[in-house]
Amino acid sequence: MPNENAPAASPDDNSEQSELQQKAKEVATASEQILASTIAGLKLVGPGSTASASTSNNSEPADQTTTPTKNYNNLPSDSSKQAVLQAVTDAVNITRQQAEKFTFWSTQPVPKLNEEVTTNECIEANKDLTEIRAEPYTLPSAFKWVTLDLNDTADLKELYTLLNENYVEDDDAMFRFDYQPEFLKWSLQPPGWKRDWHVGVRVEKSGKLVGFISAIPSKLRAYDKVLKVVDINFLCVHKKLRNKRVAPVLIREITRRVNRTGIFQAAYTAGVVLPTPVSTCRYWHRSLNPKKLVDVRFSHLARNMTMQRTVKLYKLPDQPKTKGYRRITSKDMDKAHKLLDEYLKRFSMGPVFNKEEFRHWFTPKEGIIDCFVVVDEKGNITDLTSYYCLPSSVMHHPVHKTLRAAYSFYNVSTKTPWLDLMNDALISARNVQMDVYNALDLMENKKFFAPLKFGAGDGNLQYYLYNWRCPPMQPEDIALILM
Amino acid sequence: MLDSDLEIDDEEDEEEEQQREYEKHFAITTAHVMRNANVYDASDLLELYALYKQATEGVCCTPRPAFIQMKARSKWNAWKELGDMSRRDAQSAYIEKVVKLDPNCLDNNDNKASGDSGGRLSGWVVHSIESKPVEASKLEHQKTLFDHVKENNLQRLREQLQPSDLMPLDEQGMALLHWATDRNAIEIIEYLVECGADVDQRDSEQQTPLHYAASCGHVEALHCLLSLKANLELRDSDGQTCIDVADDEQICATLQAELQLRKG
Repeated sequence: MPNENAPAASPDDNSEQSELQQKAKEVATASEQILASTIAGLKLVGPGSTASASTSNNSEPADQTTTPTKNYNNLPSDSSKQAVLQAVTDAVNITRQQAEKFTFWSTQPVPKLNEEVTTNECIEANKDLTEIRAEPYTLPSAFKWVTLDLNDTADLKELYTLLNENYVEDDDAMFRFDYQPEFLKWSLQPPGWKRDWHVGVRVEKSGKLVGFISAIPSKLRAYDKVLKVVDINFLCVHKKLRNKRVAPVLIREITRRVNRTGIFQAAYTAGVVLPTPVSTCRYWHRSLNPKKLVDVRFSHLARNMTMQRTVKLYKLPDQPKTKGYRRITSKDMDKAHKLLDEYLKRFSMGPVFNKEEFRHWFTPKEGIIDCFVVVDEKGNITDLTSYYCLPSSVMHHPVHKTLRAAYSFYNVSTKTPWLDLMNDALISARNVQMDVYNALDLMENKKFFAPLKFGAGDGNLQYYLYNWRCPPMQPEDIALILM
Repeated sequence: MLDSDLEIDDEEDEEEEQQREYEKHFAITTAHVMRNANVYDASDLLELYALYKQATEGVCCTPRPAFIQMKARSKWNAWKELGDMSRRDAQSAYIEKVVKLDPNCLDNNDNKASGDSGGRLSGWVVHSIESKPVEASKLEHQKTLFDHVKENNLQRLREQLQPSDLMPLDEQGMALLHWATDRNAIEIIEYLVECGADVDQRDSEQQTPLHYAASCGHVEALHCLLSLKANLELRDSDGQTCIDVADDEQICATLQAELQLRKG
């Protein structure tokens, strides 16, 4: 109802308004600067003139100051004008994009890009419940908020479809994540989960689900401080709504709902650089089924590399080799929890799981999560390795429709050497027909990448904290995996 | 601020969608050409230049450059020759030409067209794939027959193959047919054998193409070679037959069955 929305809308509209004004200002300033330098450039070249810059700029010593404009002199004047105009258009476009992207983030409690941070503290103080808006943010008029019920098959299926079709927003993408419904339940319903934090946006008329964002409760240690946080994940907006600026509303709304429960910090990851990453990690990939990976163009043969040698290179033994290596059982949980908990203290940032959470995240579930431990003669658990399974749809391939990928989760080595432990993990993954084993270059992972034949991936994953400022970290200081 | 165009329905404006697709591919291919300009032959570049001008500026109506401006003049000529070709046709011819030169250029991840991403979620989700191996790209005219086979480029191979090219092994000890099999390029396998290549040709380790098909797990190449009557019993320098080096059970079973069939 428009009338109901009207009062709630005004604060948003104001902020939207000021964002727009600010944006306009930034674009204007940028364009002025560009135009000024452009005009300076045009004067030097002059329409229809191929004269050297020094003639029109004769007050300056020609040999030094004219170098930047020399390039223009080699071009006919019309194309130089065109190039300049193109440069102006490009620059204005880029500025506008930057401005649009960051006007939202400049309103948020996140460190500025290039801000030097030496403290480990919140950016905004915790708010009193009375200061936190009680009603949802206003959506564009044709849309409404819903909370999804992942225990309801229909809701779960709809979320699955939305993510499957829209989560990787690049239409040219060769691969799209194919989060399975049971995987979504596992990752969105850990101990303490709240239905209120499975936030959806539907089209009012048709009821179609067109947006989603989620939060799950967690504890996170940043340097010496343990924070109550939420992990934000699965921010997804339907392709057709991409330029309607729904994402900022989703982020504001999930923040509001989380704030209402007394939590003011969050962790999230993204491919894109926003203000401001705590760390920048990179994916590495270990081929388990190299022929298929080359077929679907996940990997590439170098010109002089044969498939024959490639297949040989990535061959693994039939069975894991480490004595005492086996799948984790229900009885192992407390010991394994203790092992991981101790281990994670070595890093600057990592989760603090309680027993119940550990059990949730590390109990093997076929096709979702698998976990192995190494048990010594006395029954002690000395090492642990785990990975989650996340297939990708292969677009436009006549034969292969799915890429089966294992993602390294948490690994601990105290007795078994890294190479032995992770080689067994690779074998375990290969034995359940995974095509590739992926790992970020965080924790101690870099130690085994080269010897175990991992290859670098083509994209970065940025780690972010919301409303928390702390010095940046190296990937190897990070021990946090968000799926 | 929001109106009816926000209502999501599943009908697409096909025409508009297609035009957008064209624009996108055009942007990707032009960016691709810009990066690879030093790799292409002059004649290809000239053709691309002409199509680009036609696609972006339309029919050539600028004055002909003076005789001494040789380069400008040949560019102008190429453009003029396109006559009144429509911009859209020029655009699609351009895309086609680039795709012919580089069949993978449209789905290469580095080639994302920039622009129009303001305020979007672009790049929020990262789907990493393995980085391409870093190696110098070869100029088209520097490519050998072996390169054409490795790139599965039958057309270039047809243009250049001489009967004497079939036997020699390259510095890796492989003949063209081994490479074709290694790349599972069945059209090339068929073509090479048709041109007189020995289907059981040995590499420097005495392996036949069938050894390659079996050890790589290339089902298509395997069937292709079997239908060309490749010998299953030849041994490599380690004394192994193609069955001994087979990559998986399915390949092994196929070879065993064929062996029985031939003996029977």
